[in-house]
Amino acid sequence: MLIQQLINGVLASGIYALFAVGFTMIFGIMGVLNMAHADFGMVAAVAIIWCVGAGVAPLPAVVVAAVVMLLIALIVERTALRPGRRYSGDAAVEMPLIASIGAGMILQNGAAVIFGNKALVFPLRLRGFFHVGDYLVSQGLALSLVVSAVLLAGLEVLVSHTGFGRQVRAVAQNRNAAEIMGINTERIILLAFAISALLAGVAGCLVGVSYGLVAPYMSIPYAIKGLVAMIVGGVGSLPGAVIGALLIGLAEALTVNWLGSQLRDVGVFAVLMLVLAIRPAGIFRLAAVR
Amino acid sequence: MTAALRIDNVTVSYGAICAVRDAALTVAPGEAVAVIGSNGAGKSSLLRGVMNLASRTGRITFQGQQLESLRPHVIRRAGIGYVPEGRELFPNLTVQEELTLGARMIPRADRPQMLEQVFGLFPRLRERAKQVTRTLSGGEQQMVAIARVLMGKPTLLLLDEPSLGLAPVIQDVVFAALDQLRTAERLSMLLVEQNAYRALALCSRAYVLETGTITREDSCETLRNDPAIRSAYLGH
Repeated sequence: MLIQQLINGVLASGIYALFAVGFTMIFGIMGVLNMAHADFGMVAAVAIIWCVGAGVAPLPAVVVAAVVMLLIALIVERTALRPGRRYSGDAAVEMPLIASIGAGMILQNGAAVIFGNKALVFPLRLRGFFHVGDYLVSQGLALSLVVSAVLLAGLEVLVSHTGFGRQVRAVAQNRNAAEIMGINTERIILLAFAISALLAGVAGCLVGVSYGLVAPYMSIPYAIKGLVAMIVGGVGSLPGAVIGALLIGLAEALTVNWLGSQLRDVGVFAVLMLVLAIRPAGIFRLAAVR
Repeated sequence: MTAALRIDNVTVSYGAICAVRDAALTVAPGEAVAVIGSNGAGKSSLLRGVMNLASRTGRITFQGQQLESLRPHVIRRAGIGYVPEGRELFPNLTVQEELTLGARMIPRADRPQMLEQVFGLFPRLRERAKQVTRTLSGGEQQMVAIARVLMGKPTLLLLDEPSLGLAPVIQDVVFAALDQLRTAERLSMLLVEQNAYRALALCSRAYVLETGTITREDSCETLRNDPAIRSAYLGH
């Protein structure tokens, strides 16, 4: 039973990692928390439901959903986050934080108005299991883990080994210096934001693939877990976000095993408090994407 | 002849505080010009104004192109390399990465040659190429700050207090490199420097900035021999 729960924890951590990496990437580069981040996942998932419901084939539906989600994400960036960059000090942090909470609420309530405040069946679900020895592995969650691992490995290569990644790291470490080095920092921020939104979009769809259902308010628990994973790993660190996600996935699974599923989040927050007590800046102490 | 840089009636301010008032200066192609002044005179603000890093009014032209509405990265790409006070490096990038970033605006084929040229100017950086910049000494960081700008082949170099916080022996290295750029490369320079001795030795012409206003312009030789300048800025 314990090993089965540990397997479940590892599998679930893939989706958490995608959300956490997006959060940490935006915080590392822009210095703000985008509280609407996980809602991009919901938008992508319900957009696929809407497209498939309208008779669009699955693959084109994914493309349409990605475009719709990216457009919405860019509107959120332009209206909720970008204005804060005109300010310095607390206003530069607080203004986008509050504005993005508002943007998230608009997206959630907007989806609830359009699709109803209910769980929606995701058309591209994978609900079967396969055996690994004596243990059951969810096909959907296994796919999620593989997709997450591939995307995050690709992101690591992009950030650490390409010219674009060098510019991203430069902007994250010193935006003024990047600008005077000829880097169009607004363009880099926008591209990084789009990448993080795509990661959230994929994560939202993987929730649908793995669990079969999505809902207008589904993003709230994923936003919390993504944020906790980011903080546990060390804000601004991409590897830290992945390690954080793995830790909270395991903590959640162990809590379910020992205390029951009603208390699954207790383990998540216990890990958060423990890490904050021992290493207040997180496991990977960084404040900028590297 | 079109000036490399022309500044007319430029005022730089931070909110209600005016740091530079109605400044006017020119830098001819291939000329090295100094701006000397005491701490807080507005020297750094003048350069920040040129780079559009501070709010400014007035007219600024670079090789005939007006800069007023351009963002800093566009000004850099137009050919103005800016070495800010405090270096403003990327602490977690290696020296090699800093130099590669600086070379983004020149053709890929020219980059190895440019890298060799920069390493020739600052041999210490070749040894430190794989090291992240936060672990370098102050002098090495200053070399990186200048070298990464040179990698982009600027036609005008703006230097803000390159001697600040450096030991005299390191200042010698940095200013020898700048002198080589001035004489061998005929690179235009606008040098802002509290160390008037160094600035007047390097440049051919200088402006004196006092509490935000340019009060004097003359050849460096004349200024060096002026008792008032000697007393105020050269310490004797």
